[in-house]
Amino acid sequence: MLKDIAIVGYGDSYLTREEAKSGKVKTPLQLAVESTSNALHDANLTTDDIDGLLTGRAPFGDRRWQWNQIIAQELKLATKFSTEVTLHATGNLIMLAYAAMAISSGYVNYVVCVNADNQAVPSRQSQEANAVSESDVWFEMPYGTYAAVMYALVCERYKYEHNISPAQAALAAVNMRKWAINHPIAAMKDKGPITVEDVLKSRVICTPLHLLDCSVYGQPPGAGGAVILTTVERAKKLTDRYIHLLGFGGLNTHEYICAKIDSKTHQGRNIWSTLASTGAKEASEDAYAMAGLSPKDMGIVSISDQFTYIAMMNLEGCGFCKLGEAGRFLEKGGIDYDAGGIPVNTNGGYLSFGQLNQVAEVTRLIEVVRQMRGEPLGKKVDTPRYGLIQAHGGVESCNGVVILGNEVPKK
Amino acid sequence: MTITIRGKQINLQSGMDIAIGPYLYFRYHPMPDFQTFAEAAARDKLLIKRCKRCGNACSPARIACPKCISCELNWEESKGEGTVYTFTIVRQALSDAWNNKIPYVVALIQLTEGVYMLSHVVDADIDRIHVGMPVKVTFREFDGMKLPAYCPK
Repeated sequence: MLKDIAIVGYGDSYLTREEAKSGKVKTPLQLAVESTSNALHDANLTTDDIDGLLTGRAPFGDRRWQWNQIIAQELKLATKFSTEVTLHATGNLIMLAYAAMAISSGYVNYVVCVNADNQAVPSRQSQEANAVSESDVWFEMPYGTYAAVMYALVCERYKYEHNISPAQAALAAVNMRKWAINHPIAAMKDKGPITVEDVLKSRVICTPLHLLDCSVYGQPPGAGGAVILTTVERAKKLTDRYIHLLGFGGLNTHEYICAKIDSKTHQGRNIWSTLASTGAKEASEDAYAMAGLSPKDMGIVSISDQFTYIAMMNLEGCGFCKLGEAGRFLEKGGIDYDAGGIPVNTNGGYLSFGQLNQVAEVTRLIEVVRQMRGEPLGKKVDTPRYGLIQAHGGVESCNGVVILGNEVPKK
Repeated sequence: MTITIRGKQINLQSGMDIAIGPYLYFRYHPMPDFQTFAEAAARDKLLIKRCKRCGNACSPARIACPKCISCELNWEESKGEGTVYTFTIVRQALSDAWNNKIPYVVALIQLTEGVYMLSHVVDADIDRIHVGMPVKVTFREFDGMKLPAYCPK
């Protein structure tokens, strides 16, 4: 059984566009160390207390093996439990679940979960490298695949299966931009709001994706984020501003796109039946069950929005509307906060805040943590009781959901 | 057992990393089976695999049958027919090598044997390509190798 687990502190660090333009440089290691340092101070902890360290994948800006060891050494940590979580972008979220399990077992007391990245590698190259790490170099890459191409194949199938219109998908981008223009670090903060027409008029990258259907890849110039987990019992002695980790779920199904479709089931679940699905469904079901909560309880949400259609699939998967219904859901203002909709990706998401290489997922996690603590960098929402973060990476390969709470639901 | 790609000789049994920028590389992992696949494609044959134990057809890249995990897979020549399961018209290239080729159509083809292959749709009116379109295999040059592509049936 999972013990009561809490996020006892968080920290983040950025290299803004203004700083980068003025010539300032921050390596991923600097950003990771600064974030952890901030988190330790936030939690009233010292490095002596820390006995676990988890990271997501090593950054594009520093591709040494043993990335978790590189950070631990720099922080002068001695860990009993440490690894780089190799689940694409999802590792940056589900590492919280793995920390929770280790703490729950009694083996470790305080686990740092951290990652960082910067813009060291030009966006075009990192996209190309992304495609390669997500395509079979022998059987797929010769055909000119890159990250957006693989996702376009998923988006087109989703569009086909559920009759989604480009105008409906564009609403996801429109809503994300509304948040970004109020966030001091968002890539698109100075670009003003956009309309559905703006999205549909932007140039086609690969059908059905227009430029504004795609995330702003490789921005902001640098970012890092860290959270520290422990038991609620220990957290209470350090601070009254801890956040409960109430539930989590994960599902990893394949690596290369051709393996995503299969007639085989797993434990009775039809997880390989179509390209037009994300594991958000199974992951969120497990997370809701563990937390004893449902979609309507969520006061803040962050879903993976590499592309507008993907955002729709993830909203559906996490239960905010029925499968196939995201188009109508968006049209009715489902995520339009000004119209009473759910606050989703309140920093602007990947679509307008930016998707910075291997730290992207962490920026969304930190945004939710900040909102739950009542101290966002951008526009504030009513302090939520519960929040949900969903991540996926690869070609829909790895999926994870984490549910946080400012209180514990009554059983 | 080598194959030449992007001007470099790659050993299929050991693989190779090819740098594409200051910090990034393509990792050609060991894939001896690709030699068989490419040699057949050079002779205009599309090979898939079939499980000796349960009869399930699977991708030529497989080491074990995805249904029963038997490692006894036999090569089989595919009928080369299927439909477009999904596709995308690529209008922006990320590498100079592909800039000359846009627009090109990447597609996931569902072969009649139930195997999914990633490839291109060629020789088609681009505006008429659609999910469900019947296609048959043909062979074209990709990255200096003769590999399968699919044209309207």
